[in-house]
Amino acid sequence: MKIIKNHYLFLSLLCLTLIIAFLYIDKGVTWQKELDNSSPELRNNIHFKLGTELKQSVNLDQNDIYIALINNEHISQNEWQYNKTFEVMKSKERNWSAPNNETIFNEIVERKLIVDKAKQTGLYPNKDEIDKFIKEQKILMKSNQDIQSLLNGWMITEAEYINFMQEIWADSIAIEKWYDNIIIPQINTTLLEDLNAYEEEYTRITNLELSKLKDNAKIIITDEGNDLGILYK
Amino acid sequence: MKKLNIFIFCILILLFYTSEVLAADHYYDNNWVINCEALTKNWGIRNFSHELRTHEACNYLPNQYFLFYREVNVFWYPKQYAAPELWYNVGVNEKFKDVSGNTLGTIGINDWTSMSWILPIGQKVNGGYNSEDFYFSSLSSKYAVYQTIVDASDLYWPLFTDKQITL
Repeated sequence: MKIIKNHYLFLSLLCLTLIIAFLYIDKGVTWQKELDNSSPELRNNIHFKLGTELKQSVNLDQNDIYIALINNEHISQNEWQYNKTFEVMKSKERNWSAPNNETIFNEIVERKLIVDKAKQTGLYPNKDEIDKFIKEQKILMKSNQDIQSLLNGWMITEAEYINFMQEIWADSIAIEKWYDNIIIPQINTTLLEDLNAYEEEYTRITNLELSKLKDNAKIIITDEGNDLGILYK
Repeated sequence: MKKLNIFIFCILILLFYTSEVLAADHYYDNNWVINCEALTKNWGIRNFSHELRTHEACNYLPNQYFLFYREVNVFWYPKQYAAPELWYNVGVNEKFKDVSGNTLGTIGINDWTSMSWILPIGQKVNGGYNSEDFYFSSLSSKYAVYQTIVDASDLYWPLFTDKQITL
């Protein structure tokens, strides 16, 4: 009886060892893949592919179709398609599970709610700030291969890309200002010594402020949004 | 007898540590500022510059082998990435190769460093400390490749940067 028990113990230990060994090998393979993923050719191809997908999904000639109204802001069909294509393709390239419509839509809604608040409180960037950002982008774009590959795949010019992106960039500047002016000042500076505690507090305050914005929000999905299967809870 | 054994044990431990310290023949320090820019979803081209610092020390051992010790730190300057709603991640891979390009040793998967932070504004954060000993032949020349990997929620594809040192 004792011998049988010992056999079971031995087999259990053997199985455990094999499982652990398998996990290590699996991780090793993943790591090796990451190293291979560093080639410039692969990087160019991936950005080119994103461009070709954006060409299919975003119609730059039709910027006045809206899929949702968020307080005084709107989400255009092109902005939705840009976000969706970016996130879905990114997940596909990285072998992640793709985010669903609801997750992507929620992220855009949160951005629009902050932008709406930023406009009310004078945090939205003025023309000079936006022009300065665009000027910096123009310089960066000249020497960056990512954007050149994207534009080649999308088959659009730098000017067309800037024209499409400038509202998204202006929103990003406003969101950054909102964090700097609304969230950061609420965090106790002593927490800077402990990054985990800082991160927890940062997330807590952000969620609190976002939930305040959501509570008073007026969100309407248009017919075009409904046709695309967009839902908001 | 028992006390003698303990005494001998202590002497051996002491000898082991002093031999390690005394035999630290060479050390190499490297410090790179890595400037890199990449495509993001909401910010166009974004700068993800960071700094990589390495400290490597060699202890020569009998039979033409040496003990190679190194530590890696990544310094990350959050102010440049100010958009605090993003998460950031920087990791380090490392491998040692001989002159023919054959890999002599790599950092283990459990050792490579990965950090994901929401960074305090205006703070300089360092991390990525990592160290490991390698036993290499001192006869053939070799080089080390350090690879930093930067990733962020807004970034379409991670940034990989290789830095090489000949030993």
